[in-house]
Amino acid sequence: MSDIQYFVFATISMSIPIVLTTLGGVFAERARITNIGMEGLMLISSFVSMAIAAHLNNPWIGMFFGIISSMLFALILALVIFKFNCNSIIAGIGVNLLASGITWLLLEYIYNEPGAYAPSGIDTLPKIRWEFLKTLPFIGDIIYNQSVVLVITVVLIIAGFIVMRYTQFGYWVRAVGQNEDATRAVGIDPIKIKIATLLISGFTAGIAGAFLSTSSMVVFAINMTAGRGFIALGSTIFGAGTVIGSVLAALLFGAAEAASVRLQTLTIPVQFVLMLPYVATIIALTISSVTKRLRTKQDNSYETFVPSITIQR
Amino acid sequence: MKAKTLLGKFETFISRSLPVLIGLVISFVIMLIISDQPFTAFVSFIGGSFFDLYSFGSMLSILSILLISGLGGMVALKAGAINIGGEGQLYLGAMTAAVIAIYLKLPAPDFVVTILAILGGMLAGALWILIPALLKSLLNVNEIVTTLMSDYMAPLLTAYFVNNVIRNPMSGNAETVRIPQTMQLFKLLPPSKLNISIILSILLLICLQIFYLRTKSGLKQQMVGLHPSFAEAMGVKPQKVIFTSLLASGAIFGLSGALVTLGIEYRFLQGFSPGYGSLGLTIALMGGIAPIGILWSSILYSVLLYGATKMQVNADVPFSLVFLLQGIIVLLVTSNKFNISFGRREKNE
Repeated sequence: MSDIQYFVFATISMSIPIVLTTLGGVFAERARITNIGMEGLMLISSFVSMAIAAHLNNPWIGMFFGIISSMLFALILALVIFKFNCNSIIAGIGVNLLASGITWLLLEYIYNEPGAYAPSGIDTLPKIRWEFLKTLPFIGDIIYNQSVVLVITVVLIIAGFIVMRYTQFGYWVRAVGQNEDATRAVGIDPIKIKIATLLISGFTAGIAGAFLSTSSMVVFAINMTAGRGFIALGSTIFGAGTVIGSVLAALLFGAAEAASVRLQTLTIPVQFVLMLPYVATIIALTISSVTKRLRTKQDNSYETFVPSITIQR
Repeated sequence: MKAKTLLGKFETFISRSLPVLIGLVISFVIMLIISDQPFTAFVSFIGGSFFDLYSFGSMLSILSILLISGLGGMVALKAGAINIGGEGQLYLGAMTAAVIAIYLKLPAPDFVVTILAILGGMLAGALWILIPALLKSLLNVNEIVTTLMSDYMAPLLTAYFVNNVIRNPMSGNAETVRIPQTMQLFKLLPPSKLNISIILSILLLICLQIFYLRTKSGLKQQMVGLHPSFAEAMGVKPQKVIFTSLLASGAIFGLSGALVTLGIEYRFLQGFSPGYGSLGLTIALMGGIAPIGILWSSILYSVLLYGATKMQVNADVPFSLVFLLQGIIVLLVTSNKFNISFGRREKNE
């Protein structure tokens, strides 16, 4: 495998969790219910997937329960936002802290491990090992040996794009994001739509979490998501809430992460290299802010997307 | 608005405390499930700080740090910005203070160096939030994501320095050498680590209380936090106000980091903080984003934080329970469905 092929391979595998989480985040963002809690949703799913996969020696059942746990947390988030009237931003931060605390506690309680747990001899999620790929030039090597989750991701990207653009549901989501009162007037309950989008983001973040803890090896470490949920949030903002744009942004952050893994072999201190994805996120948000500012000077229509993060208190 | 009668104050106190009570109940249920001696665990958790004078002093030394962190979180929230990167600023402040105290040689008394170390820590905290603050005020870049990203970067930066530049070669841990005794903060209740930073923290609380209640700039800060467009109409520049509040927030977190180094740890140790910085936001929210409320919530949290270490020793419940509790509290703390009133109806509402 050439250097470029290796880099693309690493970019894709690093991007998978970010892309998945971004995909759900796009739905929430478009319905104007920015999901700050995606980090926590990923984390809880990582733990549950690891635990169930290790217990039953089956990563797929692990992933299933990971998704369930993540959607349950998304439901809790929806509950406190809409039933208890909590500020959605603060409640999202609460979900992150809660997931971090619960997984930490369970790690210490169940496995008696202070930092990380990696059971040995447990099946991981399968790899793509289709023989025909070997005959393809360039692309073959890039796809061969990736996790099967890549297939799920691609399917979900296409599905997300179609749902957002061509279905009734996607239309409702966009409508709720643009004008909540108008949608209420035509008989759509914006709160139901928002809850649905939160659950969607729980679903995709759940797959992403399972990928993190059960794809290359079965392992869980405290706060192992390491900001990927927030990086995904950054991609939805950078991608201006469009499915394709946000996925591309997520790929960019995946590339930054792949580069940071690749550069660790060089003489640059490893700590600086590891900062790369975070720096990339800050730069990307800055760029998106600048371009948005330039665009809004010419175009003030409702189509111009504005992220919904404000604090009302 | 509720009248500021004693009863009214009590009611707000109760409704503020409800998320905490719910969190404590859930914690207790968890103890019942996972522990063999849940009552020992619960008593240690709640009362561990009051078992003896040493515990009490240690709790107060944690309080001095958490109170300052809570105020740091508050300063940003007052202007409507959210700084969730407090932990990172605290790390940088702690490391800078250690570096100054260890390496700065001045022909001056040692306490001058200590003061410089504290100021240096504040400066480092402020510098660490400078870029997110600039981006927020100039370009309206989401400060939650940027402060969080810098939060992940700070421990990496300090890890680089403490491993490669300022490491104590005699130690097996990633840590600096100890700060000379003469530069450590004065102990108030030896052998516990309670030191004069508790007085500093109370002073800061009073200053901020006066600032927000009695000064024009304090009013501007709150105006921007509550009604940015109104503030703008009144001729206040929200960008400028948010910028200064974020910078001040970073500096205060840096201060609490410096005080940890100079008063509790006496060195910079990678991974020294059990969330002193990230608790800042929690405490500020629990305290209703007001100085006096933050005093109460920081007392509560330092009791629990110290109690958790006792709990881990006395019973088989891990320390990480406090993080779970923190999550539940933050999740519910902004709810306005917990407003309760005893017996009388609200008029004019």
